Amino acid sequence: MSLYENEKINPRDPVILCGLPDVGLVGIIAVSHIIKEMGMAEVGYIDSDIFPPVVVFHHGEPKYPLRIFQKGNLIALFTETALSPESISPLSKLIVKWAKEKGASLLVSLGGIGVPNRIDIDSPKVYGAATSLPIRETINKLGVPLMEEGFLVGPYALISKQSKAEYVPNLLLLAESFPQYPDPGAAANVISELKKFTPIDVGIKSLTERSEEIRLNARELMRKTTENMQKMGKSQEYELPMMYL
Amino acid sequence: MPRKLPSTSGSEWLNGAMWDHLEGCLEPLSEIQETELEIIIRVDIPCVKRKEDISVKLTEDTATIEAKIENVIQYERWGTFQRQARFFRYSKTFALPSKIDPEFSKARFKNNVLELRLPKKERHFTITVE
Repeated sequence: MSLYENEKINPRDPVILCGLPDVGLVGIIAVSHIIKEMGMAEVGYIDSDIFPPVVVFHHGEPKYPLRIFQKGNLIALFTETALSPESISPLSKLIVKWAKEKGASLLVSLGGIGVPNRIDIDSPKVYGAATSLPIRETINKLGVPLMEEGFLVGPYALISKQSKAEYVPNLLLLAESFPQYPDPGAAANVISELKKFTPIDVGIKSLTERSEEIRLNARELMRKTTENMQKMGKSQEYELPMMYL
Repeated sequence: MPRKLPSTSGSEWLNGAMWDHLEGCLEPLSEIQETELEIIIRVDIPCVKRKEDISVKLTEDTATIEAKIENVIQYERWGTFQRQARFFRYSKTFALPSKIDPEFSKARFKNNVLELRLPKKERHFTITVE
């Protein structure tokens, strides 16, 4: 698996956002919105023999589904296709290694936590977690509820583990979400919380207005992601950790 | 379920698709949860505005959902297919894992999610432990 930079990406202390397929496609929806709203430029891509044999056409040009965008010191990784369970370990290692090389000030995983009663939640709560104590202190200071106990399964779990091993500061922002439906409402709240950590000029009005359209268009990616999440053992997120019980 | 595309199209691999452009029909995302007493089905139906546009038909073994999309969804160039496609309804039939009692079933529609609560036909009794 390799990461290719179209031109040398050389930002100063970048904040790197990850929008990978997970519960409610929260990260993908949020990062896609940020890329569009900020007019971020496409600067690279990630490819591997173990990715599905897919390209995506945009304006007549075939593109790699997993691409990298940049504006100033903000970088965003974003995929338009589902990722197989076999690919997420090498992908996570690659992302964290690259983030370290670039001297990332923050590697942010934007995602969801599946809640069965999401239908009754008007404004989903966003929880924070981090690999380093200073970021956890910031989470507390900013009034974001901490993900105190529990399991996380999937790409963000691996990014978190790898970040700990490589001493890369990894912040996780996880919104309550529909487990198996695209959730733009959760993505909007994740963006609102992200803005507390890094100053980005992104509104959520258009995301909210396009909510139904996004839900409709993201159905097939959501279905494939759900199948992959089941293979990864995502149901463990509903179990309690043994320690401290 | 959307009608399967005819095999003569040479597109059998499309049978798993969540759309049928010939019928203007979409398959909604859905989930089934089974508890001791009931079967809960949740169906995501964005662009359906009114509960009056939703039809739920139940038998002891199946649940069929049809929903009308408020404003027809039109794609000028639908996917790699690159033709105009219009969608105006959702349709899906569920084979239920246990027999249910249609008479006491309930449905609600909130935030474009339809939730069906279908009590199981099998009766349950609580007995006192002596």
